[in-house]
Amino acid sequence: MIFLLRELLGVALFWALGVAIVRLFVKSISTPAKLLIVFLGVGIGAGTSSIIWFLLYAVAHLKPIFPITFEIVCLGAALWAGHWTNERKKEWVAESEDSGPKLLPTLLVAAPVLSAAAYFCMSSWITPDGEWDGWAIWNLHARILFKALHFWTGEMAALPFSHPDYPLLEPLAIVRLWVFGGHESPLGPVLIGFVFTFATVGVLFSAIALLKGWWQAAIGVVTLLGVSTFVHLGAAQYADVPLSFFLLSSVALVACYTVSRNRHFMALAGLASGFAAWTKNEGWLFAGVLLFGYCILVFWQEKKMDLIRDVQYFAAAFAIPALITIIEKKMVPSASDVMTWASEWNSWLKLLEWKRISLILTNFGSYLWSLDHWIVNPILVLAAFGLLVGVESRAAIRRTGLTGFVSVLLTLIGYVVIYAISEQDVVWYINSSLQRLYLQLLPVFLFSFLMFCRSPFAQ
Amino acid sequence: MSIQRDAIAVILLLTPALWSNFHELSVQWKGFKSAPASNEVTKVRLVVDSFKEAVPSQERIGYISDSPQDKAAETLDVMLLQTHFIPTLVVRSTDPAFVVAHIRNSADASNFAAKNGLTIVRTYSDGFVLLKHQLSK
Repeated sequence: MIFLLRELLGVALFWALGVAIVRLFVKSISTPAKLLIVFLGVGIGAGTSSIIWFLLYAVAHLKPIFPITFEIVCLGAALWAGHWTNERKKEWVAESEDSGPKLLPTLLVAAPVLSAAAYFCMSSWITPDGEWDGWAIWNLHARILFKALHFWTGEMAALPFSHPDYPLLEPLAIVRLWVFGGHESPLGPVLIGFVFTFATVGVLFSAIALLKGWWQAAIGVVTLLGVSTFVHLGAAQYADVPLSFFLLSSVALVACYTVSRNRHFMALAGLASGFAAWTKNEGWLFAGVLLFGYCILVFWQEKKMDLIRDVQYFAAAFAIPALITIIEKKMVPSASDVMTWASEWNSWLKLLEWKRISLILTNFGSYLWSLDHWIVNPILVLAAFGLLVGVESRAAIRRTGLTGFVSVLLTLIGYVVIYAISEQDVVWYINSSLQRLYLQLLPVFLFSFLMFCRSPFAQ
Repeated sequence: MSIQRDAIAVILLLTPALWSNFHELSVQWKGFKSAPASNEVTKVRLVVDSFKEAVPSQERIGYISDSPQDKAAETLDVMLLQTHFIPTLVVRSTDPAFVVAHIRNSADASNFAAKNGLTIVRTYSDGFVLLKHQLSK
């Protein structure tokens, strides 16, 4: 019981650190803005603490007391700096049509959230060590860092099945909780899976509530939690759900910038995108397409000339976790099973094989159509909803939805290219990964869709 | 009219979403009630915890099974053992001083061990046996 409390203390510390860092950038006034800061704090805190632990624990081999102390110092510094700069910060711009909390949408959200939490707990009880990628990759990397600290790079390289080139945000977050708890227990990965799953739900709810209103936010959460495979993926201890958190946060923060013109949101979006790359390799692709999609839409719709400054803010914050990810990849003597073969020209020629592309596209279609077990296909239901409520009237809000759609579309095109040039058996490759790729993008898609549609019951 | 249309849109979207959410919870509840006490990963964790007490700190530990034709089962065994034996590396070989055997079919574990020049150190349920070389101390 005592180790549970100690691991919860570990979660509380990185969460507080994350909230303090987000508050450095923006001031919260409305309830949705405060909620968004709290939920963003989960990922920003986990990402920041994992970088601290990477540098001080995994690279410098210092005793755990040093990264813990450094985290506490950073928390104190962030709180002090946040208080000191409070007057200079710009406020969130609450653009929602019904920004005050409403009882009915809040109650509507409560039931599926409790149901999903119960589902998660039962899943974790049945498989406490997680499912395949959970125990064979992410938890294995955590065990190596926990038990073979002084030779972790060689140990990972000796186990090619564990994908040694994968980034370390999730493994380090788990190691950190094991250090807090005093021993390796299944509870650490379960806690990380739980907080990221429900923080993703929280970011979806609070970002939509901030920009569109509580009804639209409630619709987003109920729809996301209706896809039980998303919650299942979190309980399986896969890194796809933390990745999903960072993808959604990046898009939501770019949306906040589009509406408020406060460039600190672009910096936070860059930081979240960097943490996505520090979580899984797919994060690199998404960060690139998000920035590209944003720039294209801005040029197309506004011909905005200060776009370079937007990109600078995004890139400056993105660079920190991205640099750490590159250092980690250089340290582990292992080649990526994705990029090694892609460097050969004959692999790229596969893009011209129509039979192969056709097979991939057919699988993309069939996986999308059977993503979850709804009584009516969710694509049809969402299409009907969109047709009934119509399109959002405000151009800035509509553009946030378009940015998300373009990012999702370009990411899917990127995945098609990766499948096409892969040396792996493409059917096996798709069957073992495509559902997860869709689920990574699901919260971003729902956010973008609900940004683009008019809010029901809005004045 | 607009409010009625909005209400239809919300009901249309939320009904299948809520139904799916609660339906999957009920399916999970059935699975939870009938779930075995331990799954494959947890079982191997208990095997390794038991064997670790008998194995001095090693750089490598061997793995062998009596069904080498079943490559998928062997791969799963090695991965599961590896994840719990960290930092010791698990190799498909009988060269290391200590070897974990998974004997699924052979009736007599002692005969299987002797055929491979090994002796039994400790046995565990589900056919997992810890072996060492006959000359090892």
